[in-house]
Amino acid sequence: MAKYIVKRIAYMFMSLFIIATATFFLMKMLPGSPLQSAAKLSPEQRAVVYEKYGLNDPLPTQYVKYMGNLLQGDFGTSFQFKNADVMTLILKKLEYSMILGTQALIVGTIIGIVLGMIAALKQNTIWDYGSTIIAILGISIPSFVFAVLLQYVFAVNLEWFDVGLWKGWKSSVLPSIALAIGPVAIAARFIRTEMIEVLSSDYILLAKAKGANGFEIAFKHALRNALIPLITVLGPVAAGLLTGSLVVEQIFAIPGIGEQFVKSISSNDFSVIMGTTIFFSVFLIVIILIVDILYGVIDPRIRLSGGDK
Amino acid sequence: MEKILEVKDLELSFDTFAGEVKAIRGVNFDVLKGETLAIVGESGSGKSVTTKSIMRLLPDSSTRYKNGAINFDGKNLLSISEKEMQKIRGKDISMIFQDPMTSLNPTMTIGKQIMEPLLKHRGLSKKEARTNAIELLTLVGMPEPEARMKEYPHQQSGGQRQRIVIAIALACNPKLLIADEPTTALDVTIQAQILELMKDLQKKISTSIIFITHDLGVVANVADRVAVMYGGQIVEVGTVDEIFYNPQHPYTWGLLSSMPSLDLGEDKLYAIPGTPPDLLNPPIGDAFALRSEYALAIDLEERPPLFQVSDTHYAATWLLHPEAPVVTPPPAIVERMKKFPGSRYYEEKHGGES
Repeated sequence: MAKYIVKRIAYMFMSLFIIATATFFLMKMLPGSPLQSAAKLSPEQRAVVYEKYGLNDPLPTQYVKYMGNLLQGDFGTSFQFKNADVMTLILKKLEYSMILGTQALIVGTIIGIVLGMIAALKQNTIWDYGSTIIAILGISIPSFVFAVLLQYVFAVNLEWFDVGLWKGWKSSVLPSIALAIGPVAIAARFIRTEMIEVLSSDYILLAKAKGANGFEIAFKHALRNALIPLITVLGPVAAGLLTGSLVVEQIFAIPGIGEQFVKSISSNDFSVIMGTTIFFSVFLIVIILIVDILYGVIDPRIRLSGGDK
Repeated sequence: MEKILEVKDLELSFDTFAGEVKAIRGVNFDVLKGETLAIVGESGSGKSVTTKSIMRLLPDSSTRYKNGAINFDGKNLLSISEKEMQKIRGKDISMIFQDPMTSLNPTMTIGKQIMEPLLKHRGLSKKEARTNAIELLTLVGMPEPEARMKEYPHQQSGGQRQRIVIAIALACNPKLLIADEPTTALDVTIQAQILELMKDLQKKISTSIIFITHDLGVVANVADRVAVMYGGQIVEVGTVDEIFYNPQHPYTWGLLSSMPSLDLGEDKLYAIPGTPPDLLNPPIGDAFALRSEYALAIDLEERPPLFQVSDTHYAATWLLHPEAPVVTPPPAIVERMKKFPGSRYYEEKHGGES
């Protein structure tokens, strides 16, 4: 198992290298420059600034320089904010997004699993239809529609929450709920399908023949076997949630990373774009690794084949 | 002998999109204490459904019990609550399933799966249950039982998995063990081992066994009595000797004739012509009539009752009616009947012949 994880981490660095390279050149192909909107600068001043940031060098030189710094853990400084270190900037913004994302993921997945199980156990009853409708709504309606609706009802009308203001944990409740709708729907749908299949398997019949009651069959025997496909799809969903959602952050005025990312693109803030992309990639790759390890925890058959490699 | 289970006039249907499938159409049989009753018949004859209905393991939504009673331990299993049934399942009646590759939970250790009924029904502590589970694994002949406890089903071979399933079934010393084709999914050498094990175990723990199979070779090996099922009914029931050497129903004749035999030396293996009856629209008379060369006119009009052949032997065929014409069974059957005292072809062996 240890050997397997080491191997996976080596692959991880390879993927990161490729992602960083591709992003670097794609970003440089974007029209415009960080100083485009600063119209007050004279051409001479502009040239001085370009020189200072090394933007006049040929692309390959810039690339080698950037990658060299990156290897030493230096993400550079932002063009947008005065002398702000990119690393510090990202970590500060990421904190907000992580709070929202983690809450949405945990609450959403648990509610989704419960809904999916109810639907599967009470197949073709009003419970099943109700849970299916929630799942369909959750998948087809984008989260920002829920966000606006939640804000209107609970913040504007009922005044339980502040509108468009970050004031600590309480402000994270509504956006977390809006973000949780997605995982609720996905988990409910996958668990329902998988549970129905598992419940008709021979080993569930054997569990029944042993005298197990409905609760024991659902939780002790069926759930664990039904979780495997859900974990696969939840990996990328988790990465997306934890790295922030642009629209939901905009609606609730949360100074998160999603919002920051878009700002940096529109202002050609090269080092922030690079930094954020690399952060997102690390996130996704780490989550995929965690998912692979989780497979083994849940399903002993996968554990064994992973260890053999 | 004491009756442990009595199935009386059982009638059962499944609701399907095509209509009502009359899977069991009036089945009667008893299981005596300590005996092995084999139920044989082709696929779709209702053998598995009959036994699953004893444990009430059929899906509630589509199954309709239309008539009859299943009496066990002074209770009618068809009228007690699901909760009471849960106390009987795995404790007084337990079951061995056909395919050991799929009947164990892949994400649960073997130890946990065996300990589950022990903890549930016998109220043992975890430690006692563990010791007990290891004893059970030893009893069913698993090598290194202690190491197995922590292993998972996918680490075991098919034969070993079936031994584990048997260990689970025996955990609470059930009064009745239902074995639903326990050797069908195994290869022949493993089949022999598992049969040997089951015979062994029965001697040790004196449980009654219902053994479902379509393999007559297996029946001869394990059973005391045999019930032959066809089209959702029992067409013939008797002791092993009576069924093998003095069969009366044309379907039993067909089954026995289609068994490969070394004595007869024929090159072609006999197969019963035709297909099993459609239980959506079951035939009115004898369900086997359309496939039988011995069918009488009345077979198409009226269902034959069970005629008594001996104290233990009954068969549902009009051929046993006093007014029925006398027919000659297929040659393979006549050969068999020659060996059975009391059959009309019995040839007494004379002394002095070499």
